[in-house]
Amino acid sequence: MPFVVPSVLPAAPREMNAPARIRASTMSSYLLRDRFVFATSRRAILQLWPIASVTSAAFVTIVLAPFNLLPTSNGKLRITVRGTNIELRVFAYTAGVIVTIPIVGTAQSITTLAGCTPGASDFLGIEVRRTSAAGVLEGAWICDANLVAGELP
Amino acid sequence: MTWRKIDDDTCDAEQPLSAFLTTGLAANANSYAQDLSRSFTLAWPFYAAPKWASYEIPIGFVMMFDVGIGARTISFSFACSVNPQVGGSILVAHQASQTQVQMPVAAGATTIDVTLALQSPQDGPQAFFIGWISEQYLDEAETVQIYSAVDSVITVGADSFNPRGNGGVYFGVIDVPSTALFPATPNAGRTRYQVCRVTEEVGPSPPDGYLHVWPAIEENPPWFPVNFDGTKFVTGYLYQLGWIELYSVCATVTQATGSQTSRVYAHDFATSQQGVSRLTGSALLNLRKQIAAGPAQDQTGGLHAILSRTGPAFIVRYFSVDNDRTVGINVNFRAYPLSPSAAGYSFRAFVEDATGLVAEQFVNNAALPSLRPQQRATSTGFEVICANGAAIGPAEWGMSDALSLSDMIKTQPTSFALPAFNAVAGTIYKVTISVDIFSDFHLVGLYIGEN
Repeated sequence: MPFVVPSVLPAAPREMNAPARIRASTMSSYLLRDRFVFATSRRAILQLWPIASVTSAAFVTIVLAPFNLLPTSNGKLRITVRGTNIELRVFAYTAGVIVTIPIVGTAQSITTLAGCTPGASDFLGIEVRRTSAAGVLEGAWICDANLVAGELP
Repeated sequence: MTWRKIDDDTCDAEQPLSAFLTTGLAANANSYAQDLSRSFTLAWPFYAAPKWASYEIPIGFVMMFDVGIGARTISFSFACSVNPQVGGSILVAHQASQTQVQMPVAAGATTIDVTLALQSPQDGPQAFFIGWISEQYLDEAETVQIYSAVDSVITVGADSFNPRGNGGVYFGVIDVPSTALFPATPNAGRTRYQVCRVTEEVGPSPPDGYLHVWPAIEENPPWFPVNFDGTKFVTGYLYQLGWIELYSVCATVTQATGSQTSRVYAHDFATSQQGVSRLTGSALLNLRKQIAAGPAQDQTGGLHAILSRTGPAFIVRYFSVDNDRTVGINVNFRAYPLSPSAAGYSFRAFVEDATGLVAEQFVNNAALPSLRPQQRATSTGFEVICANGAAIGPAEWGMSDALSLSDMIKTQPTSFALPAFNAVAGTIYKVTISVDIFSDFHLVGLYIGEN
């Protein structure tokens, strides 16, 4: 059986009344649940307030914030954004990585910023600009991305 | 002890496979608290960053942070700008464990790091009071002409400081020479008052403006210069207070004590292994993702203790999930209305995806303590220091959002949960909390998180 992290939480075994002996399926469930907890219980990183009117057509820094990744992080931030006619740039300054997120019309995006340093403190920068007359940032939420099987310690 | 894939190294020699399993699982479950410790950052847009000063008592706000499992030590990192002339002290307090730390902050600081060692391990969402107390810059002073002082307003004319052209939030103290005033003994010997705001006079000069101060000047009759039939004013001295402009706060659990499950020796019996299994389940409950740590609405907000001064009030947050899963939403907060006549408030919280409503919860007639603005140095009953006690206009969002630690304690914690729904990976969910507002309503801290 390949080493995998389940995509959904496996149900806890129910056939547990003593003196029942441990079944192979029960053991498998235990292992998968343990893996699922570790791989998916990553840190939430930051919330961002709504900005009702993004007024600048040039990028403007709106956030500079420290953040800390777990030593077992895969260095990827998952960025959830919703807005109207805007473009976001998200930086991890110390790691020196950046991702640009365009929002065309009223839309949403889930984007990954890769290359952050696990276990280290860094500064997160967020810049925003409008791409048409009316730009709106409805909100953003950033978290540490889940691990895949090959990234488990 | 750290989490690791279960392999041959975690198994005792010559043991059956069930021992292999339980040894590894117990070790992993014991590592969850530290290896999956929590961190979250609360950040404000630069143009709406809260900026405040506080004279004599710490004033601040509440950050709600889910500390995960067994948190013992938490570090708080601040990105900020502090008055280049004079600093202050930052206070971080955790009421539930009676723990607090206060640390001096130098003038001109741009980052602050504070470590809070909790008296007892804590789980789940916790409220942390973040306060600031200013130092005074006494080396240089500006002067104003004081014409009268009534309640929380001092009427002034221009001297080296001209109120005209300097209206708005002010970060300083005024030193009033008590011997030059009538009555001659002000406010039990007090001569210094925090100036929270300057209002410009648009009519003939003098006066040129008004200083809104805290605490109020408790004199009856009001103050006037002794020689009010002569020059009609006395000179007051304005000193800077150390202010802080706060851009972000990152809270990180740096030490956690989780479960210490011992090896399961009766590894061939199912009941012995259930304990290990339960740890996995309870860890899932305490390692939920946090969605919001504060209540601000949009760029009109400042320090964000206030949800709304009448009118529509709602909070919107977004989140998504990595894996298909059943998600519930918890909402925790403290709140109070400033109008004693407000009997109750109704909350509606709901979650939507692109297709519409997926979960909804109503909380009707929430009973909340009514507090009154505190104007005097000594509080009476249920008063709260908002706006540092100064009477200011409804458009003001600066220091008016701040409150003291003792005021936070007067409010009642409230929480409710939304019904669980099946969240789909790759979908963005919108959480909205709306409040029926009848009068000024202050939200003190806010936590939204998965469960």
